[in-house]
Amino acid sequence: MIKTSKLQFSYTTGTEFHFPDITLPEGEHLLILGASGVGKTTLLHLLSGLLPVGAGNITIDATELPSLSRKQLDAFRGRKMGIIFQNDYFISSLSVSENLALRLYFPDKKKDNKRIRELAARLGILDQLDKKVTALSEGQRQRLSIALALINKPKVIFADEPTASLDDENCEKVIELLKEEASLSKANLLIITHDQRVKTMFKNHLQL
Amino acid sequence: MNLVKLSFKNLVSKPLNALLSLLLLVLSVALVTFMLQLSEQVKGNLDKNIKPVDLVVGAKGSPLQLVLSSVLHIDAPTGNIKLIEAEKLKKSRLIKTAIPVSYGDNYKGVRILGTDSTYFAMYHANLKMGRFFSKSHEVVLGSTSAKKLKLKLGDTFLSSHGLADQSLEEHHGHPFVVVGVLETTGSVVDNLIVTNLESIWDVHRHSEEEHTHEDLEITSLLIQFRNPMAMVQLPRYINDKTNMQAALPSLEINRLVRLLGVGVQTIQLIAIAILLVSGLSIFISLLKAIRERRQELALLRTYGATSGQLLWLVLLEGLFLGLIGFVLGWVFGRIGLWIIATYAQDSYGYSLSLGLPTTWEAILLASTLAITALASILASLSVFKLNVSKILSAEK
Repeated sequence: MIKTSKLQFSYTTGTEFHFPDITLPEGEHLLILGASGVGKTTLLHLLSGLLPVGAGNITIDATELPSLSRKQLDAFRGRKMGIIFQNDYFISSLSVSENLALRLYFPDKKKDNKRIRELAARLGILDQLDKKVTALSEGQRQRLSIALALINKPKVIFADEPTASLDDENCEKVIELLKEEASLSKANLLIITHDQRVKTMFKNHLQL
Repeated sequence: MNLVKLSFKNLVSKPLNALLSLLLLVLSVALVTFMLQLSEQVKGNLDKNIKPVDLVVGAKGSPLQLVLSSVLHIDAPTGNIKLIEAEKLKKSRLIKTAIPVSYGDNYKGVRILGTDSTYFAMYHANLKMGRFFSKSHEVVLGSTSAKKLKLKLGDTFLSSHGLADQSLEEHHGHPFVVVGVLETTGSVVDNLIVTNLESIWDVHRHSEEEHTHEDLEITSLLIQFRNPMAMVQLPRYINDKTNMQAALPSLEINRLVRLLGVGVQTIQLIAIAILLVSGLSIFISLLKAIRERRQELALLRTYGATSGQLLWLVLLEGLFLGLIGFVLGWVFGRIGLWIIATYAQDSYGYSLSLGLPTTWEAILLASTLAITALASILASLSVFKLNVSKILSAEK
């Protein structure tokens, strides 16, 4: 469950954003649309605690983000959130399974090989687990980013332009996959995009 | 997966980045451990060998040369002294024991020393097999000499003139016979062939002429004092009133060690400078690694890693580097020592051991790790200023 009220943020460069209030009950999905420069990524970074809230409030899973210390916020993000970035980032010195294991290691030093294999199997990258991430194809990288966002069974899944580099067919597949995985763990799914193709696939929209 | 594993994987995934720092570290640790071991062992060896001898009396010349030749057996003698004069001196009440030693021959590069049985007592040398010599041309072998020459009891050999192997002239007609082999003492005795004085005189006597007692010569006299007063009086008396020379081994060797010490210290200073440079190099290479891996570090923050954990990650990588560098450096230092030991054994009959790790080396390990830790921490402070949001929203 996500709730924001009177959320504001201003960069030191002077750019100021005022965001409309969001209320999203548990398990609901939301598509946030907007042209580039309206603050889509800023909103995502605020919601995920990567940027400190300027003014207003964010409540996720009954926790007010502005009340958390930096360290608590790191731990909260590690436990409750899964983020798919516009660019995919991995630890290049590690294999696919080691990347997934590392995602589980923070912040609670969890180990769960069963979960890794099960999720990899669902996403069709089971036979890639021992490969270096640098050896993956574009599609496999996309799937690994999704796996990394889901492995810790998050309460909220954020995705920033997950379909920007995909053709129509794969675009649909990825969105279906995200919706399916989010529903499986009753997580909120927040997709930020300017991709008009995605629009018809969600019933909740927010236009920035 | 944990921090230790991740930092190690990060280190080995791009080994070239850290190679220069590692090489510098290995070089400095190798130099320091090598020099520490070498100087400590050489000093220990010298002390052990000169300790029983308070004073050497020999022909005029360089006092250091006299000590090196007569006590340590690694230089040519300064000349000979008359036996009668030496015997006169022996009567002094300041002297507890006076051991005559005489040189002149070698067998395959091993020196044959003429002396009397008190010489064995001085170095606490006991027989391993056989007996001590009782008449001319009987020899007792030091343990290393016996091994090196592959001689056993009852074997005979002919000596060559001079102290080094290269002399071609053999003394015919005077074969030596091995009657005893000594136990290992860890002193110069191990590397000698010991016989009585008469043997040395015999091999050098030309058959037609008969020597009188007056003509007999020895190389030097090794003296142990009866009391500390002797140290003041005896050398002055010998140097002023006789045509012989008195040299105090401890004094001469201290002078030599001091001279060598300057060289050793210089090399150690250079090694420490290299160690500091390697610290700087580690700092720079980690700084570069952090810059290159900025996005990965930011990613770890989104996984829930704290800045402190990221600092640990970089610190561990530095410590791995320090540890690997130290171990490799230590091994190379020992390999160097082993090469020198083999050389010293062959050329000077001087034995060095490989040496167990010393306290100094533990201190060196601690300082190496401290320097790498300091370099790593300084380099990794920037992770606290990591702007995760900015790094992850930038185009790749």
